[in-house]
Amino acid sequence: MIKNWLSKKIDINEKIKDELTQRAQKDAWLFTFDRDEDAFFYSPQIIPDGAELFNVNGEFSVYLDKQKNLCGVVLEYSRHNFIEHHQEFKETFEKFFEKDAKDDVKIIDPNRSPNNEMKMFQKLFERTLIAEAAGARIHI
Amino acid sequence: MKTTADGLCLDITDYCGRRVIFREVVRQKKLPKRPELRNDDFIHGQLTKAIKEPTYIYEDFDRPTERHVYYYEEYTTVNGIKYTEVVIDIAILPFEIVTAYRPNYIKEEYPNSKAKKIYDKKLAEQKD
Repeated sequence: MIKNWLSKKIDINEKIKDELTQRAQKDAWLFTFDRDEDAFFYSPQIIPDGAELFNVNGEFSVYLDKQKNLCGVVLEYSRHNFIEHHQEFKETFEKFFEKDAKDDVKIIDPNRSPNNEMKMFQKLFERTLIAEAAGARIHI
Repeated sequence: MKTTADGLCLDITDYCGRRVIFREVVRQKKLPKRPELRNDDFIHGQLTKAIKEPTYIYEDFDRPTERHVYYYEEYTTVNGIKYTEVVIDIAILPFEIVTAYRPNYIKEEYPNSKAKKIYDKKLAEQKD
């Protein structure tokens, strides 16, 4: 495993603030809810090889690629942690991601969704992550 | 990734000698969002070590009686400790790997987490 990659400190808060919206748009990030794992991803369809996972504040983590670019956000225990603490997302989350109990993995492309509610969810989600990262003031 | 005739990409025993399997179909399902699982060296290296020589084991926050989370402490850097984390379904034998990845934190240790630590290698070694 590559250890040198991690030897330099990075201001993850700045990275999220500067890159999140832009990266999400450029790489056409999708929402993916893995019900079995209770994990919620906001990322490209495939998170690149060699990406490394870093905690932000206990509620969400980010994947950084080999060039240290942001390449995904992960909420673990999404329903029982993040959504529980952010009730403003609950209704839309349940409606779009939890409704189809038959699907283990539910994927929604917010940019192709005809539904305005999903676009609002995306905007609010990005803003919340940026605000939470600023509060965490974390350097990795 | 080599798989057995039964469609298993990993078939090992854990630190207590209980059989643990990883179904290739499950690994394939997790691949898009878990780049770690695309790496053969990871599966047969850190992931295997996490099961055979875990540093810590926690009950799953959501399903404490059905899932356990095995952590293997890899190394310490300026960015904290790097772990291999393996989520294992323990409802029936053989145990089954649900997913695995490499965080720099233990989510079960965060404030408000009700997850219970059920194994600590250092404490277990002291008792021995």
